[in-house]
Amino acid sequence: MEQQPVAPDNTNVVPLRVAGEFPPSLEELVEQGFRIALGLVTLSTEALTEAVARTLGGPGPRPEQARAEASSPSAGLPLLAGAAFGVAAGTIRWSARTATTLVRTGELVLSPVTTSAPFRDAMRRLGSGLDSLDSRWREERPREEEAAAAFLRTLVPEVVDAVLDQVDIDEVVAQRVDLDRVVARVDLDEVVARVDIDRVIERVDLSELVERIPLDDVVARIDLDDIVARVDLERVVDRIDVDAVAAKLDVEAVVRRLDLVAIAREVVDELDLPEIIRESMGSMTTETVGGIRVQSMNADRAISRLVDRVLQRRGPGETGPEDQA
Amino acid sequence: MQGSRAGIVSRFLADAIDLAVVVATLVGIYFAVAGVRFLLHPRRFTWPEPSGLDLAALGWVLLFAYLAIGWGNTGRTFGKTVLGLRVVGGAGERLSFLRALLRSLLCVAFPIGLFWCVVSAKDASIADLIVRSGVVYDWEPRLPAAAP
Repeated sequence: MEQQPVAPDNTNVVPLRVAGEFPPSLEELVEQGFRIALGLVTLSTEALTEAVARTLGGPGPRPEQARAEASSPSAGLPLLAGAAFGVAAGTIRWSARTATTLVRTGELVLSPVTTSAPFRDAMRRLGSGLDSLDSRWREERPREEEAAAAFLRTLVPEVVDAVLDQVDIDEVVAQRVDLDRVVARVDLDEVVARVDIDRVIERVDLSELVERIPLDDVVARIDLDDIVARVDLERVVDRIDVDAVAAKLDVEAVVRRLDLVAIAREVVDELDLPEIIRESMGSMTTETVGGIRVQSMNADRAISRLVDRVLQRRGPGETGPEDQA
Repeated sequence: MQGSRAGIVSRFLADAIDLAVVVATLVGIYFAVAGVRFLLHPRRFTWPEPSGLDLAALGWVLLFAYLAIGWGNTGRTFGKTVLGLRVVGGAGERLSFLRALLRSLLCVAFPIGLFWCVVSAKDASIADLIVRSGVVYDWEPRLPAAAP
């Protein structure tokens, strides 16, 4: 038997034929077959027992309970059943070996017969008959396979429906599926990249969405003082083109709207003009009079000093007016 | 300087203002007489033509009364109020009305006597010497006590 190199997994080249392991021996094949049959019998027996128990109204053993029971030593009927399966397993293993031995012995014993010419002719005829049967089978095989497929196509959905009716998918997913691991395996970035956000937004009725939001509550929760404290108002003001804003203002329209006459009348009513005029005149008069008084007093002093000097007096007030007279 | 004797310049200015007040009063009287005459005889109205002597006499009388009333009451006329002066007695008291009349008469009859205060060591005019009065600075008006 030729053995071809196995292509590495990370290449795209698919070999035409991949050589497997050497075929197992007949004995191993038979033993494995019996083992599988025995396992199937065991599983089906357990399932049947559980189903029967449920039909009787019992809760039936839970999986973890069953596992605990399997690992712990049993007693009573389960012990007998286990023992029986043990005997069956041993018997099967022994039977397989016996059968293998018998087949090989038969081959040895019958070898003279099988190598004789008449037997070979008979076998050849038998072989040709079998070939014709095989070729007919090959011809009819597609039609039969098609019929079987059609039957399965009808049958499988019904079976699946029936099975799904019995299975609580939610429960199964909750118990068997580790959603965290599933989500961890998903490349969410790529998923989001594939989403056409614009189309999603087009489908959303934003006005209805906004109506559902209790804006008063939201605003009540916002600390506006904190937000305003974070705003750099000077930078904001620097960015504003005040000249442009002023250019947009229609000052004339504003002035036209003002009732200037009424405003002026109000201002005049508020002002006590006579009092203001009186005060200003009073202060003016006071300043003027003060100036005249100071000037005249200085002049008085100057003349007095001059006269004192001319009359060679030492100073005023030393002699009374009477003395001078 | 409050309460000290005032010099010739202040007193002269004050008297000049008083004189102007009297002249203005004379003018006012003239126009008042003319107005009354017009109302009484509008068709025969002519402007009054008083003689200079009449006007001078009236002016002197007015000035005498004006000064006497002012000095006898508060010690101040309008001119002295503007200049911040006050006429007081020798001890700083207010002048009696009689002394005020006498001082006023002396001042009106002999106005040149004012200039004696230039040479007077106590800034006294002739009238001050006779009546024993004086003129003081009184910018913050405080009425002196009444004459005893």
